Amino acid sequence: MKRFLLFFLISGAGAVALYAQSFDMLWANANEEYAQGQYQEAFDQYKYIYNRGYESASLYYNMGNCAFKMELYAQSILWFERAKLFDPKNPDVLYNVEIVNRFFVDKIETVPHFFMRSWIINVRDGFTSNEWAQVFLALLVVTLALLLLFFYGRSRSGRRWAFYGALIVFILMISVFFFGWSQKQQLQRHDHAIVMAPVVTVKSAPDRQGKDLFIIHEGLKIRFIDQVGGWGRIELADGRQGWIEVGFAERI
Amino acid sequence: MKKIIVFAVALLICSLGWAQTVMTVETRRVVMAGERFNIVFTVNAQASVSEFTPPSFDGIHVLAGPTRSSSTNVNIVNGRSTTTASTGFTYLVEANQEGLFTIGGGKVIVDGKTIVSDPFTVEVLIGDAQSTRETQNQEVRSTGEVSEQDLFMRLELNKSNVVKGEPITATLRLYSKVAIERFEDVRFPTFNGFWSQEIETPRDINFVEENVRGQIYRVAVLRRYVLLPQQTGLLKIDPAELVCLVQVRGNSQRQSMFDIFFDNYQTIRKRVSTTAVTINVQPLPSGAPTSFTGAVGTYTLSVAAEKDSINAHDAVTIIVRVSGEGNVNMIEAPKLVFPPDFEVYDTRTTDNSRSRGSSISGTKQFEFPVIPRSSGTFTIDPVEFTYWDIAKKSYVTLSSKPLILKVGRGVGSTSAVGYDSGVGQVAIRTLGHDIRYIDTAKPKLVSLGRLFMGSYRFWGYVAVAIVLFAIAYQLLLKRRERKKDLVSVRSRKANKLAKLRLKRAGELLNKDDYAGFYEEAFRALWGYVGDKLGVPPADQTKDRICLLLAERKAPQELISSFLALIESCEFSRYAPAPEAGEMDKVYGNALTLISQLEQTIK
Repeated sequence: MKRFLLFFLISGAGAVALYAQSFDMLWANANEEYAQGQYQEAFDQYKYIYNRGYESASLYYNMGNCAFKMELYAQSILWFERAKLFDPKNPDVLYNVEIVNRFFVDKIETVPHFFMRSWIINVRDGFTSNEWAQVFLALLVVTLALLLLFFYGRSRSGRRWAFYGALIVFILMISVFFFGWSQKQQLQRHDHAIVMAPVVTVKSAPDRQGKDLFIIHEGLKIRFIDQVGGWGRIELADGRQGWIEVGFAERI
Repeated sequence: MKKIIVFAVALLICSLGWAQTVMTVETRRVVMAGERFNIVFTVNAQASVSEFTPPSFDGIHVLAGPTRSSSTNVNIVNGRSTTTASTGFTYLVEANQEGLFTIGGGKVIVDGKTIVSDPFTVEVLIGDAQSTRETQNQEVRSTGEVSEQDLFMRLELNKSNVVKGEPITATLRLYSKVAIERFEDVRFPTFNGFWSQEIETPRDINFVEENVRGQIYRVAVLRRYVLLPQQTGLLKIDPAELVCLVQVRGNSQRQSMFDIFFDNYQTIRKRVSTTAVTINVQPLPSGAPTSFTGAVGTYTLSVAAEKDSINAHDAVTIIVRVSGEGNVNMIEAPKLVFPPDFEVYDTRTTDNSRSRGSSISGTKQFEFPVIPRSSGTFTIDPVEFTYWDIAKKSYVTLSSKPLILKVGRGVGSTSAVGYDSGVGQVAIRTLGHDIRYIDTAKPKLVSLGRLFMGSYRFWGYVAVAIVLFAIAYQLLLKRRERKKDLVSVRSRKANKLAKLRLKRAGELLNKDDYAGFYEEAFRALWGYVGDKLGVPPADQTKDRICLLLAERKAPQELISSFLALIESCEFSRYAPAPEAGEMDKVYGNALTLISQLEQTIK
């Protein structure tokens, strides 16, 4: 029985290792294809990794690059936005997003946020949600250690400092948790989307008879705020709202 | 003497001029069987011609000859006279058999030199005697009109199925059996969809006899063109038109007897036109390399810089030469990629192509004037030139060697002071934008949609941290409790212990062991405060004890007298024997102080 279990364990570990190896090879192959200008092949291999249920910022980034090189700009921005969601401060991703956006027609004046909010978002996007989670855990440990010091500190002043320290670190910890949580929400909400159809007429109601409000073009980033049947209520960055058929846009 | 030399030189020059003695043959190229015609051998020399040896006229009857004739032609131009003399030997011959007869050269001796004429061919056709007669005096027709058979025009192409850009030769020929006085109203064909060039535009129209379907026509080349198709598909060439003024003999009834003596010739206008010709131009197959710009034919490529090494800010010309056969004049300048610091000026193109035979050949030269703005060794990427090879039916790409250009430091960058003041600084130019390269580092792949934040693992860590905290808290709490117990026990026992020690000190006092007494008294006092205040012996200092006593609300004088007593005990331990009453006093003091402290300290 014991031997059987051991065999099971070893084979399981082997399978996992093999799996990882095959992905590494795929990754290297895809990079090689890209370097030689075989963008479609490279994209297919990246896509294979993605279809197997794995993701990473660099995977999305590379897929965006492939799509860009094939001049599929809407596809490209979709993958770049996914990479950006994953790693909001990656300078390469931000740069490429800017480059790709030059290929799109629609120009939108973004409604500016309250400065505190944009500042908080800025801080939040400084790290990925996983990083925030790790920081949170570290701060939790620090808080608890300080609490212990506060309870059992030898000197009176030391205990006082421990108390204030614990308080501050606790507040920090709570905000870090908020940042991480909010980013996780952002990542899992999938409410933003990229318009994939060349031209889409935005209607005032979720049916074809609705009045035409305005026209948006391929590559525009929109936000779904509601969905009724096959129709989604969208909001643009400048605050305009309307209804489009969900199939015209792909969620990030 | 001098005169004689001059004369001799002049004579020599004259004789040099005469030295080009040749013999030519004049005859008709095509004749009808049974027709009589002349063959004339002409030598451009007169006096000293002797011994003409005719060639063998195989298959041709010599009816008469040779008849010797000579002529002299004197030209006086601007007072200078030139004399040309010639001697002819004429044969009247008749051919009876059909076929192609090659007749060798005639031989003649002029001034002792043998001169041989070139061999020539005569084609003999079978025809009816009547037409033969007519052909002989073909100039005039007895009917009042000229039929299509007698006068027509053709546009002849050397090929009619070509690819785009492949050169075609088109020849406009006039075929005639009648006498043509002159032409009028000439309309040459328009070559829509072609680039065309006239390669032959004879000033005098020379008719040559030719066999066309067994008939002898006099044929003249009016125009010869080279055509380069620019479009694909069936391209139609519009017909050429021409009005010929032809002399014919009038067929009207003779009016009077005088008319017998005077032929009433009349000139009629005959419009001739070519039939429309279509050329099938096929497109070049797809899959052409990017460097293909439409060149068709066979070519060679050479790329060279005017000079290999120059200074910065000096102009240099890169010369690309494409030479070969094909649509040379249609070749576009190949693309040259210069280093970004090069200023490139307009390309100058020189076309040295000439139409030769049935196509165009020559060289097309492209000059790229550039000015390097910085020094260094630059490599100009190989120039690629692709053409469609008609014979091989494939694209051929020529590639030059990379061109290496050494650019020295330009003058003017050094200052007058004598040291290098650097170069003139220029802002970095942006040449283009592109996305950044892919991330090649190993990706940290995670399962789709699974995040550490908020995962079970995350909460597990949080729980573990809190549980560990709770455990640590409990452990520390217990330890403190235990310690507190220990301190209180010791504190409670402090008085008892001190009393015990003092009792022992009292015994030592009675034994007069003063050192032992002081030590025991010191330990009693010091141990008492240590236990009472919960200070471990290692941490016990006078300052600390003083502080802690003050904290425990002990009166200041009590603290100071206590400390003073400890000090005196400490001091007296190592001092010489004190007075007798002194030790009793210390003993009593210690007892009272301990009891006082016991009362005041809570």
